[in-house]
Amino acid sequence: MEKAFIIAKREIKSYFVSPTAYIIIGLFLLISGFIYYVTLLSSGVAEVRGFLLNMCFTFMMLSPILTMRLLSEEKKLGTLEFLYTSPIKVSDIVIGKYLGALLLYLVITLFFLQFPLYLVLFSKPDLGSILTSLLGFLLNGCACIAIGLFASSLSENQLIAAVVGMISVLFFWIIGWVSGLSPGGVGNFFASLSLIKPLENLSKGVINAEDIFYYSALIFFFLFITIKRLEWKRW
Amino acid sequence: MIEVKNLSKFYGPTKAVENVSFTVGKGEILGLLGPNGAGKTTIMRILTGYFQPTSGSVKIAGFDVVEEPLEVKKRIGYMQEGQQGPALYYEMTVSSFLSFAAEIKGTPKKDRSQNILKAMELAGIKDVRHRIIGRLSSGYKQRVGLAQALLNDPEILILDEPTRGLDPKQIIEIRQLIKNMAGERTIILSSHILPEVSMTCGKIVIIDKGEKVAEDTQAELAKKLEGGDRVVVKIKGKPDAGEVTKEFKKIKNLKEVRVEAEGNSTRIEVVRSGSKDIREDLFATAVENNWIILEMKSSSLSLEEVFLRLTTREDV
Repeated sequence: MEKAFIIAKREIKSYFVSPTAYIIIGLFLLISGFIYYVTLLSSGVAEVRGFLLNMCFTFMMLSPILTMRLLSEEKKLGTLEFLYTSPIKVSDIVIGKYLGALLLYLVITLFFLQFPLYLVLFSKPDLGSILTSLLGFLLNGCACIAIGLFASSLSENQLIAAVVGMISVLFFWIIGWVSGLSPGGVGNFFASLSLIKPLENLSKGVINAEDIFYYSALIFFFLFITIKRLEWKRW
Repeated sequence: MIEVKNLSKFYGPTKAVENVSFTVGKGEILGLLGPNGAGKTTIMRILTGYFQPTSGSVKIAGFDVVEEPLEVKKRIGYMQEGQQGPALYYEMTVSSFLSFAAEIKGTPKKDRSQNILKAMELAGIKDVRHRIIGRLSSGYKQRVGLAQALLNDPEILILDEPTRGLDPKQIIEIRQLIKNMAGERTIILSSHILPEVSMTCGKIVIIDKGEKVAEDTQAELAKKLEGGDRVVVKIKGKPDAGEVTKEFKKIKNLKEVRVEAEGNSTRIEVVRSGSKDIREDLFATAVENNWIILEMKSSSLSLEEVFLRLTTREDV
């Protein structure tokens, strides 16, 4: 586990050496500023709910840019072989990569905190629902990064990794719509896979054990199949 | 130190390596020689635990590569070959890459900077340590790869084409460096260039199409495998070729006789099969038949020829 942190440290450094980190943070803040302005100032209601849901969706679309290089680039350069032949477990490599991307996401969230802060400074919003919404924003990001990391393990081509990641994330976003088509067991099953539902609950200020479990299960599942994917490739 | 037994590796139905066995003693340098695509890199990747073998076993310093990969990896320094030269993180500086590698290899914190300095000194990259790897020339990149392999003082070094992309002066330096390390370290290096292997390695394993075709020291290889020395005799005049062949064939331990006319003289090339010197017999035969010898010279097969004979199916 200690070695995972070494990987994570290198990863976060390399984000800031290349323009990737700056582009993502810049783009994200630009879009969030725009959405913030439109949704809040035009409605005149001191509520972050709609804004945060929009931001979660925006990050979903941006997250593959953040994750596409994680494993693809290592594969392409051959440095994955260096890691494999060093005394470090595959699970440590994957967790380290995940933590590295997560750290960058935390940096983005830090910048992002300014928007709820304006609300707190200039009006009296419901603080509870702001905090749960932020939790939702964080957890949603963690899930998207796990999905993107898996996509990145599939190809040494970063573009393919990004496209696969984006489509997978989108899939988890829209899968809930199936419940409208076929009510009952099947529809409920697909609805329970959706990323939207737990996010909506959290933005209303409701913290369910079920929703937290959903996020952890999703993250765990994608990290697990990423590890399996990397181990399997060597047989 | 290194024990490879009946190693095979198949990618689906495609054979990469089949039934390769060899051993390397402590302090020895072994050269894996073979044409491109022969399976050298695959063997090295199995040795370093990157690939799992389909069958067979590899033991390094007493540990099985499949059973205890982490123990093996701790003892190995591996310099691999990427698609575009050595595989390194191009956006990092030399020293930050090496300190990352040292951390991954688990060098204790107090020894780390000492360790990195030593590896940089050995590989001769101290002057470029603050530069970004991606901007270094390919020779220097190669050396950074070597320095990475040398970190943590591994007992075993596995070097995949260590001199690829270097200029002649650097090649000589790297070879010298590898030679100097023999004795204290066990080294396996691969190459498709013969002089390289013959200059640095005590023992040579020749691989072709995934199979081991020969294993020996360089001198033994040339002698034992291809029937040793070859002698060229030039005699005056043009005696009947059939007659000449017949007469020379009477000599024991003679493998091949080739006769061809050359202007006013005849050139006869013989290859012996044993280790006994046949020049005396050749002389005696010539005298018996009243042939006047103008010239006689012997040459042993160069490693290059042995290599070509072993790795090509047709006669060379």
